[in-house]
Amino acid sequence: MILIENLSKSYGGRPALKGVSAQVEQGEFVFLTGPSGAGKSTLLRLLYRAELPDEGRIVVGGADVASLRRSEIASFRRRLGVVFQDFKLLRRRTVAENVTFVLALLNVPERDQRKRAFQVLRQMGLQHRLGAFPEELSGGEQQRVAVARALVLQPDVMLADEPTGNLDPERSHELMELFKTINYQGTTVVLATHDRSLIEAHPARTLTLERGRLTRDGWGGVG
Amino acid sequence: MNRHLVREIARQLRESGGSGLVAVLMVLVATVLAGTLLGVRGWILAEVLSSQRPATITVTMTSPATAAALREEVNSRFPAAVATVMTPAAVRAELASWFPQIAGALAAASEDSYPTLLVVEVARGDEESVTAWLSQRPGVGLAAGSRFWREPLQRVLTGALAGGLALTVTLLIGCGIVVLLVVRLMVLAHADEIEIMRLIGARERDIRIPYLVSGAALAGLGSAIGALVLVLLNRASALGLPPMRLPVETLLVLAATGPLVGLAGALLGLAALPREP
Repeated sequence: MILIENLSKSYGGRPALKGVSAQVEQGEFVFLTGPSGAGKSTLLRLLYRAELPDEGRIVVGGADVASLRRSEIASFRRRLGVVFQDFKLLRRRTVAENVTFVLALLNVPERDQRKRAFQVLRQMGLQHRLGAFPEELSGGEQQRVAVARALVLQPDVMLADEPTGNLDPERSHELMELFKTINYQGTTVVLATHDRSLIEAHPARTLTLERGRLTRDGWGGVG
Repeated sequence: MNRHLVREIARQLRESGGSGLVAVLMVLVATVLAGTLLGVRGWILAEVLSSQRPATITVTMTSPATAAALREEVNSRFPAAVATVMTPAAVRAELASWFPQIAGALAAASEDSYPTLLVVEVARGDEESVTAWLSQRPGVGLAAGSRFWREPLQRVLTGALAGGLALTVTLLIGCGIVVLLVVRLMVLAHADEIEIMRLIGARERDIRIPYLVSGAALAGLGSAIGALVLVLLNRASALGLPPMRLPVETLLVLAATGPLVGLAGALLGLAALPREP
């Protein structure tokens, strides 16, 4: 499902990733962890093709990410559900509109859009905030809207960058349960976090990055 | 067109604000100016300068009797010509009909103040020779053909049209630049949103089309209003305005020019849009 081969990326000569290789099978749940600046976000950005690697190869769902044509990028990204560290919600749109944005672009009938938005927002406990704007929401609520938006297209792969970073422990646990449920339904989940307790509470395969290198690929805690 | 596009276009038109209004006004003025010039020129060419119309030679005579005698000579020498004598009273009445505001003053002046005229209509090709012949006749003061004023009028018309069209093109280019700047500023202001839209799967066309439509709509609104003004002017002869001869095709071309200019401006403005890596 996800193949990473000898991946390197640097910014202005400063390496962010060095020779990272890994493979994630379809339906796997994988934590990506490491200290701040280890390269977790960079790796995710390369996976959803926000950036191109300096070296190496990335294949996601059969698509060689670096060699995608510009016209293919949008449809590639629609096969992914991405939860961004800074939420990346559209400020001028309501919660419902943020969630249905891509559905509207795909000309999904409005009734179906509303139905699907309501379903995922109910999963997130936000069914009562459909008409609210992002700035009216707490950080945790914004995070959950971002998750709802990532889920609405029922993606093959879910990439989440510190999705629990703004949530209290109870909400973090609920969100992790939700990611697990999504994973049980067949979606591959790659979740970047620096929160060791989260990994210990929800043991799964864990890739550990340190200073841009993959230092551990194992099960459970960071070690 | 999906809801996203409609919404984005409406929002961008709102955000274009005063600058957008300037673009609308520039195209409006350009359309009305070009249309009016072309329409008036069309009327003058068809009604005044048409090569199908006969040339008119106006001859001042010393008395109605000499004018009548010369008319007979003209009729016999140039059978195709149409000669008419205008007595001083007829000249006064004609002037009074042209300038009703001073009809009283014209009427108060002695009849001797007005000349007797012989007006001769001939084919354009005969104008020069007939004028020369008439000026040699006894009792003739001045003989002038319509070429005397037709050629300067033609030059003025050509100059006015060239100047007007240059101004029109300048206004259209100005509008294109305003649209370019409006779109560029909006793209810069929306940079974060555009990045998010891309990251969650929006296609380039989903992002670009609203800007292109907004640019075309701003200029298109101006040219549509301009075209409407021209249609009203075309029908305004009842108001005493000079009639215009503006063919429908010309009107359609003028109406289509605005959106094309807006589209071109928006396309150039979108050059500011960062590309995917």
